[in-house]
Amino acid sequence: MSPYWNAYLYVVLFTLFGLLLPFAALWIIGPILRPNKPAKGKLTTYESGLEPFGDAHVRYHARYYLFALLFVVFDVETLFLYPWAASFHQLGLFALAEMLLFIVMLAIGLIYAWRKKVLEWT
Amino acid sequence: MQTPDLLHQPYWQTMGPLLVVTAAAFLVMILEFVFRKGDRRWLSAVSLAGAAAALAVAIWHYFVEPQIALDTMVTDPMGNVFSVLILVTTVLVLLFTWDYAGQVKVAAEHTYLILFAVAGALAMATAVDMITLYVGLELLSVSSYILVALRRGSARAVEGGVKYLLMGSIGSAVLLYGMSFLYGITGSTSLLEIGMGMQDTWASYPTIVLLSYLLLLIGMGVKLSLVPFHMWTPDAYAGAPSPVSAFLATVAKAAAFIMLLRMTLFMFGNNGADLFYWAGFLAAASMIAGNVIALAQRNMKRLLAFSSIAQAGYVLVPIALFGTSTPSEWYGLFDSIAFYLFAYTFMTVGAFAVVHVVARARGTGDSDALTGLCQRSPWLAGALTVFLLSLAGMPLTSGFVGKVYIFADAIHLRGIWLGVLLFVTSVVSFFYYFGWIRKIFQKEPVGEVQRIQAGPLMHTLLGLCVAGTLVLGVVPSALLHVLQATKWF
Repeated sequence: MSPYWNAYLYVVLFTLFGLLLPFAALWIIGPILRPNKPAKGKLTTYESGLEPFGDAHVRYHARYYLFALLFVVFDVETLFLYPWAASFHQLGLFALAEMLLFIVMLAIGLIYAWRKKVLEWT
Repeated sequence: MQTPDLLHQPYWQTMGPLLVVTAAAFLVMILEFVFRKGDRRWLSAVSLAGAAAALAVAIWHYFVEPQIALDTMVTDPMGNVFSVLILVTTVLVLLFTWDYAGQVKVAAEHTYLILFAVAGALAMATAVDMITLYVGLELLSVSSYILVALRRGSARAVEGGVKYLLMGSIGSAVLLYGMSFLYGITGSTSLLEIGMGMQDTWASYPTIVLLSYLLLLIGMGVKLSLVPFHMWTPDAYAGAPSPVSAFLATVAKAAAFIMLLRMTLFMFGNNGADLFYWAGFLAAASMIAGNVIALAQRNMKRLLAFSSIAQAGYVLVPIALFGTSTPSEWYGLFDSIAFYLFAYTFMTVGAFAVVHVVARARGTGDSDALTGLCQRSPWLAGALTVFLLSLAGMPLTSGFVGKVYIFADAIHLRGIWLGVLLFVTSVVSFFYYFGWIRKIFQKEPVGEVQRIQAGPLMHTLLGLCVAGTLVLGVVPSALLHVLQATKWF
């Protein structure tokens, strides 16, 4: 057996353990260790502390979709801004120019959405 | 990482046409915010000026020394010739869009989305790194998906857009899968480094090399709408506005061809390129299926869509011939591919333009709308006849010269069956092209004949396309000398 194929042994072992661990934790060791105190409140849906009301199968307004899209764009922008800000001193002027260009392009996108009345609810 | 010197010229120079096009796109977008009242068709003129400026930069690049920037963007003759081709086509398509701008509410969106797509196409023509190529392809594809579905009110536009989106995304995924294998066996995303690494890995992993080549071919096959990955094409072309259909059939295909050529030649070319022969099967399938299915089409734009599938099959013939020829013969194949694509551009944009005018005036996209066109407008009838003759490959038109060169390549370079197939399927295509010509010159049987009018922009566009088709057909040496003098790689 060449060392190259040996590497697949780790893949097999990793897969096996990956399957074994959750099964063991949830179905074998879990029931032995955890206390068993059933209550009706525990069966309700968790909604960050609010009392659940109504049905989950409701219609959402399609407008939420546009807000979600805009949110994701600026969320990703923040994601890029953090590592950039953290290593700003090493990157220098070029990175500043690049980031400004990036923000300006996104700003044009935001102005576009604003002009096309995406931000208005009615 | 070494931070590049901002003012060092090659970085800006190599991306010249791309930067000009992107700047023009943003400029049109900003101008659209600023000027919100009145007739805004002049925005198309701004975009046209941007494309013309980019074309000037690309032509200038052809005459200066090749440059490479950041190991990702190059100005080599291959990229330059195809950048010029893409930008010439863009100028024609933008003229078409300008004419169309008066007929649609979201005209500005059309204009700058086309410019963004062209920026992607230019990246595909000049990048030598898989990641940059892929980003360029996605920029082109995503802009095209939106362009197809931009007429939100039309169910057919949305249907075409969704089909294109689904098929195109699968194509991109397959392409990316092939790229990941290549990165896996060579450890690089640069086409040049993969090409060098391939000399060692070729013998060790022949299966993976073949698999990755086929995945790249299939991924690009979806974008080129080759049979059997062509299912989105008729719906997308028929659903999209005509300028967008013309754009998809010309710019998007030219860019996909150069990307396929560059990727496969740079990465697999060092080892004799036997693999390229696989492309011959896709070429054969596209020529047969495209021409045969086109016989049954009644809608004019659907017929042109199948015709463009067959035309892409013709261009794929020289690409397949890379597999049976020696590197010294490759320059000739490049000449044939580039010449055919130049010829194809003029006749296809022109045909879509006439079909657009006729379908709009007669209120139907059915090919019966062409009946009596020679009485309604002799100029439109004549122009469309020239384009159809050229698409069919009749002498004195550019399509004839292009086909002759491809046919001669096939016979000389050990691909006789592809040459014969090219000839036979061209004969099949006569049935539907001449069917249209017969309708054009048929007299309208009953009633008063209504004349068809077109605007000055449309006349300019048709004049350019007719001139391009005839000049390349009568004096092909004008372009061929330039191509033959080009040191492609």
